[in-house]
Amino acid sequence: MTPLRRPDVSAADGGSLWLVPYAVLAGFILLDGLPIDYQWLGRIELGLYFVPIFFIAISPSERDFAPFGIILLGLVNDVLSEAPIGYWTFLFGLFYLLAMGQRSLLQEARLGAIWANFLVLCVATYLAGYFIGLLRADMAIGLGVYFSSAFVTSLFFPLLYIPLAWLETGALSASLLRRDE
Amino acid sequence: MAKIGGGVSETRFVSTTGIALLCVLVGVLLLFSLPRDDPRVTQIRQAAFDVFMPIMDTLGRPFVALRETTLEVSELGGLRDENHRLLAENQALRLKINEMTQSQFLMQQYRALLDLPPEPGLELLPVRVVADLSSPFVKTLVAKGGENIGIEAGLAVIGTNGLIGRVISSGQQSSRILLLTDFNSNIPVVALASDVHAILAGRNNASPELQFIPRKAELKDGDLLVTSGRGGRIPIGLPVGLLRLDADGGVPKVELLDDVKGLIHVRVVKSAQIEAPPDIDPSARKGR
Amino acid sequence: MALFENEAGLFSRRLFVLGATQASLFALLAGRLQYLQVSQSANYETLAEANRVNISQLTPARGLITDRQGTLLADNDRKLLVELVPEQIRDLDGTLAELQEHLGLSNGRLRELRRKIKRGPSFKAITVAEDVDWDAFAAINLRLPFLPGVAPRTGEKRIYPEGETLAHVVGYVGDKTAADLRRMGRIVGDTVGRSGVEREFERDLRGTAGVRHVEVNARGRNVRELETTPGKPGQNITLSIDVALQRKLSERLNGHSGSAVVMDIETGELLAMASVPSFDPNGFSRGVEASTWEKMLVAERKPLMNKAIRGQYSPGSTFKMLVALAALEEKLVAPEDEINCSGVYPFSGEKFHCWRPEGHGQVNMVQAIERSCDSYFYDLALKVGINRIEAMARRFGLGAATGINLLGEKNGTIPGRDWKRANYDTGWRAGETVITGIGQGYLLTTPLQLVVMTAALANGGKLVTPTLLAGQSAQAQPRPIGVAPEHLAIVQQGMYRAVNKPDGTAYASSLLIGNQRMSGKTGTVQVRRISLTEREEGVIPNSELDWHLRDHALFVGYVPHRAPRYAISVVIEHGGGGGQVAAPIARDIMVDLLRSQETPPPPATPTPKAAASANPGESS
Repeated sequence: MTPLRRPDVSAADGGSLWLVPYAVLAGFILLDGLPIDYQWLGRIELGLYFVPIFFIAISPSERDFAPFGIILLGLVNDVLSEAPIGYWTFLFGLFYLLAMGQRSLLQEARLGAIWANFLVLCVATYLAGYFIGLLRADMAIGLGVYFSSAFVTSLFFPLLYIPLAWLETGALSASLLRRDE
Repeated sequence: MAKIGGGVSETRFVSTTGIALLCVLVGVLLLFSLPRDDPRVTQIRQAAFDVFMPIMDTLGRPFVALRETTLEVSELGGLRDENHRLLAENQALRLKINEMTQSQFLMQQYRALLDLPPEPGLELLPVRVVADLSSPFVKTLVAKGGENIGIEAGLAVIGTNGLIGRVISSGQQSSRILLLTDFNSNIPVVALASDVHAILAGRNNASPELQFIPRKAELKDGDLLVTSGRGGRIPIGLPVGLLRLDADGGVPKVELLDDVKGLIHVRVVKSAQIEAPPDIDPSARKGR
Repeated sequence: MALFENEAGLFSRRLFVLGATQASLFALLAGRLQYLQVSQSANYETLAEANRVNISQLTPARGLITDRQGTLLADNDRKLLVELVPEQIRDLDGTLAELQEHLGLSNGRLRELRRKIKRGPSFKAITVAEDVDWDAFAAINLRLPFLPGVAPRTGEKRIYPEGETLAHVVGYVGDKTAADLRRMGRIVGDTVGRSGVEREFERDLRGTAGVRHVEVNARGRNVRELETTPGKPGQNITLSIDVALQRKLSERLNGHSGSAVVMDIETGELLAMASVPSFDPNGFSRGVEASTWEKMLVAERKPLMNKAIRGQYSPGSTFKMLVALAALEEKLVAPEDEINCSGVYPFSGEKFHCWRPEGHGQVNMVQAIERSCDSYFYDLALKVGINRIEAMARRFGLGAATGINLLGEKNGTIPGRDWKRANYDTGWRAGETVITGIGQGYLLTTPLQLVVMTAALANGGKLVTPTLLAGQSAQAQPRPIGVAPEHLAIVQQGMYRAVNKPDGTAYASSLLIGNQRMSGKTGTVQVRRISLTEREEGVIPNSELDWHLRDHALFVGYVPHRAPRYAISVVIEHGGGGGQVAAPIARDIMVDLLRSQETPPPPATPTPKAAASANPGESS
């Protein structure tokens, strides 16, 4: 696999393209509430939210908005998902923070490495979620389910990450092309 | 220019981390300072649902349509068999209707004899579920329609076959339904065949438990549980589920009549408060 | 620019090293995690579960108490409670208002709750209401989502179907206190036996706790039951009491203040033991209000006291048999020796009166017992002396607890020279021997001691240990007290005549069931001093005296007269004459007992009710 080198979008004129991952995240939050019976998931708690967060966190372009945006969306998810207020805020924030630490490391990394990294962070975050659930709420779910949830979530990672990255790169090259003209 | 490297960037790196850290801290603070059952939180949630309801409603429509179509398509194959089954059921039901008309007539006479007020009819409000918030934390639904159509907290909600929960808060145009499977759901029920009164308690999993069973109660496996109307608020006699006794003598479980997962259409039971008839005291009747 | 790039290059190298370290660390972590997941997952999952497994004790069912035929005397039921955990309450006023509305709490109770919430530890559950009815309980359950901190719960409730009838014997349970914990160590459950059998056999009745492992979350809510080791329920206890006889006895004593005991003279099993007035133990196990309790404590007739073991009375004439036995044993008199009773017995310048002012004329020992002649026993007591009377009384178990399995038994008092010296610091006076001869003076006995004494007179001189347990007589062998059978025969003859001959003091209470009769002895104990002037003007009858000045009425007896099996003692406080008041009660009870013996007596059995309908064709 070729390294997924991501451009610094902020340096280029990406327009409002940087908002896409946030929109995806918001979409997942709303989608999660829909009355759809995901029976095939069993007791797995899918956390697709973490993919756009990861994408935002390791983006070479820094925005002061990022942590605020993520925390805000976490809060919205708290309200809409009836989790204890602060649960998703914390988990989103924690995941973002952990992923940010990997940013420089992952700049030149291949997709496989990024994916593995995502998996590790997922496990860590799910673990945190599990303990918060224990401390704070009426959770009736085993640790095993949490680990499996982290793994299953990471299975979806490339499906979401690659399109996001392509979108970003494509848009950027388009904008660079425009500038060159 | 290359953003990575420069002194400015380094400080920025730290500062962004700082912001993120601060945000996480806020999350933790919120998590541990805001009491979960705080009524204000409930209000905020209800208000948020009022705001997000139209979006979720619109977003959900294609999914719901898709699902219903799939169901229809899958049903199409078994149409002939289904038709036969329904015809047979129809005949059986006709007989039942005759019996029920008779019973109803008798009941009216008895009520007149006992000077009881006429039984208030049940008004059913069909509502659509726009969000299913079942998570490890709670088992709630958000329904389209709130105070605007007269839905208020406390009303019972039924699915296709029986009780599925009750309204715990209602906003202008949305309402939240606490499912029977939620930890906080406790509904007074009565087992019909054995006439045992107990509380149906949600356990955050698929099958709620039957709690506070009288000491000398003789329960029957498969017995139908209906709401007992005890303690007010929920009308008497709404079917709930079937009793499933634990072979090892553990707490009996209840198999709900309706699958509370993936509900789309539910009905809110609106009725005047029906008090249980005054002469039935379960403790006086059982095991004393 | 070059510098810039150089720096950037340097920086990226540093970053690379850093990244590599991080990556290897992560790889390590991932490897470790995978190891944990794959090979140790089961292990760790259990460990993680252990963190949040709540190990709680399962209160075992308290043992049942039945009578000898298996009729339930103490049963268990659940009671519904509502508790409040202060730290989980969000809106105290609202919560309390809601609770008040549904549970009907008084404003006083509400204030008390507020005080408890303010003072107690915030995590400790406070009981809001006990024995809540189902409707209120259901209403609270329904409102739980809006009432954080409110916890519905069930508890144990003890029920006493016989109520007042056996309150003193069976006793009652109460909420455990710090004192109980000190006394008995860790106790399972909320209640402990407070009195009677409930207290005495607490350890047997309680059983051993089971253990329940429940997965709970941090808020203490049960998530899932993991494993349960059921406890061992408490032992059931079969009492020697015959509930039918007990009911009859309570009924017969109703309206009086006093007690009566019916005992098997060979085994010491108590068939009935009643103390009146009584109280309803059901109210007590629910908890009584302090004012009611205090009222009962100071009440003149002492309903809380089991008078059969804690009431101490002079035995009066029921004591005369022992004086006679002491005299016979020392051969100080022959049974046929007579004295002349003129109604007054002068001794050292004092006049001792016989209960019959006109006297009994010439009486021998048997006649003196039959007619309860006081003069004969004044004389006899002086001949025997206080030392021998004291010794004989002690041999018959007086002056010491009988050893029955009930707490709080009194010893009574058997006076003597040493006793007088120790308690009054003066010497014994001969006049005191005289009145001891008719069972008055310092003498004090409990009704239970009197029935044990009577049993020993009837069973050929064996002292039995009374017991409330059925079928355990073998544990305490009757102790022979070395009284000659021929002497006992003389006393028994007197007791037979007292009930069955026209001159007997209890003739009105004679009975005949089949060919079986009752033998016995009346006693009337004066509780006031009769002045000389009153004696001259005529002694005021009991009916004209204030209740507390009237005589105590006593009777001891046994049936059947020829082959004795059961003894009875009856003491009616301030009841008047023993012959008029106490003896008829004894007769009625013994009639019932003998009648029930005509149909074969059901053997003591712990299986409820089964034995009660014994086939009448069988004999046993």
